[in-house]
Amino acid sequence: MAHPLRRIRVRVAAVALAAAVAAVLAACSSGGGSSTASGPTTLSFWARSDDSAFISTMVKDFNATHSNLKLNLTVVPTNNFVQKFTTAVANGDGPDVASINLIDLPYYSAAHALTNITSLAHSLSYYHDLSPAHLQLATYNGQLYALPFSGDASVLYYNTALFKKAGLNPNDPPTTWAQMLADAKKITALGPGYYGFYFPGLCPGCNGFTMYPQIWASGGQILTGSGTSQQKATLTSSPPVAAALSFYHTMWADKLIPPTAKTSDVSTWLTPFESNKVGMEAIGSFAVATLKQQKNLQFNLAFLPGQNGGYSSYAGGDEIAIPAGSKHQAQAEEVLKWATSTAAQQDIAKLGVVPTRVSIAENYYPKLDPRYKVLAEAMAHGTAPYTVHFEQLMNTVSSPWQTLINNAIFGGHVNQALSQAQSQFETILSQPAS
Amino acid sequence: MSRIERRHALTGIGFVLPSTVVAAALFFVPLVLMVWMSLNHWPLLGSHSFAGTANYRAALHDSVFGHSLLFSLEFTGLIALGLLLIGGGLASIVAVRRRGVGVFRTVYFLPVVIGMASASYLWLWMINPSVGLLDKILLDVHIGRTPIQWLGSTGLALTLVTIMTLWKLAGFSMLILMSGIQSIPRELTEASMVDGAGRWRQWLRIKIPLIRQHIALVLIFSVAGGFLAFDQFYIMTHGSPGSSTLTSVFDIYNSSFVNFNLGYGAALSVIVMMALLLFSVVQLLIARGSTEY
Repeated sequence: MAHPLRRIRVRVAAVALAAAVAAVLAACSSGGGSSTASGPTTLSFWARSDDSAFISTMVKDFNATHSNLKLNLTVVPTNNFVQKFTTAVANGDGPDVASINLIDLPYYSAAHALTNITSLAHSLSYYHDLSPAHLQLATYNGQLYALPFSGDASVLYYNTALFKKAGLNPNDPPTTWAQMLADAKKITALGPGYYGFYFPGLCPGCNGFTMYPQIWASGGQILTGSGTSQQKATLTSSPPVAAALSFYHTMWADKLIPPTAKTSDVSTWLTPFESNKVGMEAIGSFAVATLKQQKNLQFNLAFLPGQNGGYSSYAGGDEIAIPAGSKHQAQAEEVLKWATSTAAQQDIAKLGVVPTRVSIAENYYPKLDPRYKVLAEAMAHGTAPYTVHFEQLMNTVSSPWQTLINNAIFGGHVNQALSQAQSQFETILSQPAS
Repeated sequence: MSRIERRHALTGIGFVLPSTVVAAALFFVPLVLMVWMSLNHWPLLGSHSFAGTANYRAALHDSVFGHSLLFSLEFTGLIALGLLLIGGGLASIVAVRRRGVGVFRTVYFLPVVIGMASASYLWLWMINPSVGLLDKILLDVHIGRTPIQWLGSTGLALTLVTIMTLWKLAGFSMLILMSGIQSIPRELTEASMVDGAGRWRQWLRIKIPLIRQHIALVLIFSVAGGFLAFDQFYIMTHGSPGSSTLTSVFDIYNSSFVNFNLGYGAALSVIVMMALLLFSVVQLLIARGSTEY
């Protein structure tokens, strides 16, 4: 007869082995594939947190008006969107539809991460009414990979109450850098705690968004060359770049900017202006909805000026795309058609965002608030840099653009910083797209 | 081996086998994959192609990576030293068996249980010059006239992140060293007191050599943790000013997920891993030494 302890031991060993095998099997089984049961098809939809002012409302409206198609919205923090989206698409786990920052589209198109929707776009009756800047960023090798969705132009916000207090005419915002400097000085002179200007020093994306237009309006360029090859960095060969950095440095050195600007990132982009202590700040149209809710804040919008006049804007915003390998191609195309439809674009306008249907942006949108006229016009005259190396060049804290801001604006070594940035840009631009 | 002994041995192996298989799969398979990736040009999106040692050769000329290695070393040195001193100090306080000491042990250990990310956010907002607690307290007691930009310079930023990390991990080091101190037989310390050794002598000549292996354990954890530090720098300093507070793992993250160059990131990872392996081997060799009386 077998030893009683042996029987127990064998039983325990058998259970342990079974449990281990079960665990390994569970881990190996493919994680949750969505089964299409009878009923509406659900598409996963990703958007970045910068869109949170309007995207949930839009998705709710979509779900309410579509019986056989539902959108399951995931809002991803903007700072992580590129990483999360790229990794997911690389693993084949990407969403069915995504609202992507237009500036990243050249990279994704070049990396074959998005579905070619050229024929869908051309089939739209309002194709020629779509924002040209958006279409340009969504084009790669003559093919279209996304449709315009939301617009975001960069403009100059100024505090009309502070302007009046400083003896400045609130209907006469500055139109040159010299005027901006003079106005900033008058507002800073109002007393301790008051500053003429603000920008978040640790947000390279924000500062590209607001500084490049001032450079463009002065006839300068950061990059030249179209497409993904043969691009040149023109940091040292385009004088307005140095002039813009010196202009900002002067404001910093003259203490017209709060000292916290040096270590502030995107999370505090609006806070100083909201506090009613900052005279002017360059922000995007997205801020209007938030700032309008500040009851005691009186502000107006002006174009971002060039050095000696003129104006420009950074035509930003999101575009809707279908990640490559989507299993719901036809339904995803429905979402694209909805997003660019008159009804949806008017809803976007009502939520304070610049529409990407030009006719709606120029006629319907400005009627909702007189300040929107500036936004619509800025958007129409705006442009955006086209590069597959956007993230590495200009969008992270360790990027050459951020280093340039640190050394030129805060450090004051404009020319030295520019040479360094120029060579760093050239190194990155010489790398292949992927 | 007798039949019974063999049966015992097999039963033991049977119990250990499942977890060994899982651990091997989850460690060695990715390791081999990573080494393979490092020998390829492997973008995050798109197809990959064999590239031999190209990534490693590029890493040799990468000044940002080189600087990040040095910075990680600097941070590791500070952390290792700090954890030993502070952990040792706390351990000697709480190693006594007295009423109420449990409260102190708990309080000192509490920061260990919150995640590094949570701790980083906590401190990030505490040191914020406009709305944070730290500058407000300093100004209220009239230390300084304007709020200090804690993350404005490399030195200040490193100091702050080091303090935060020490605050967070000291309890863990304390626990390990405390168990070491408590395992020292009382007769030894009493004998040394009879022989006329003062407190410092006791520590230097008797207690520290006896807890040598516990010290080695703290060193291994702190060196590995310090060298692989990422969360606190990603959240608090973002590697700034410039790239001066970029750690080696942060640079690997940038290479892989910002520059989308997984192959290069893998090569950097292999280099960091080899460096850590070297450290650990050296540490273990130094710490080896039987507990001689």
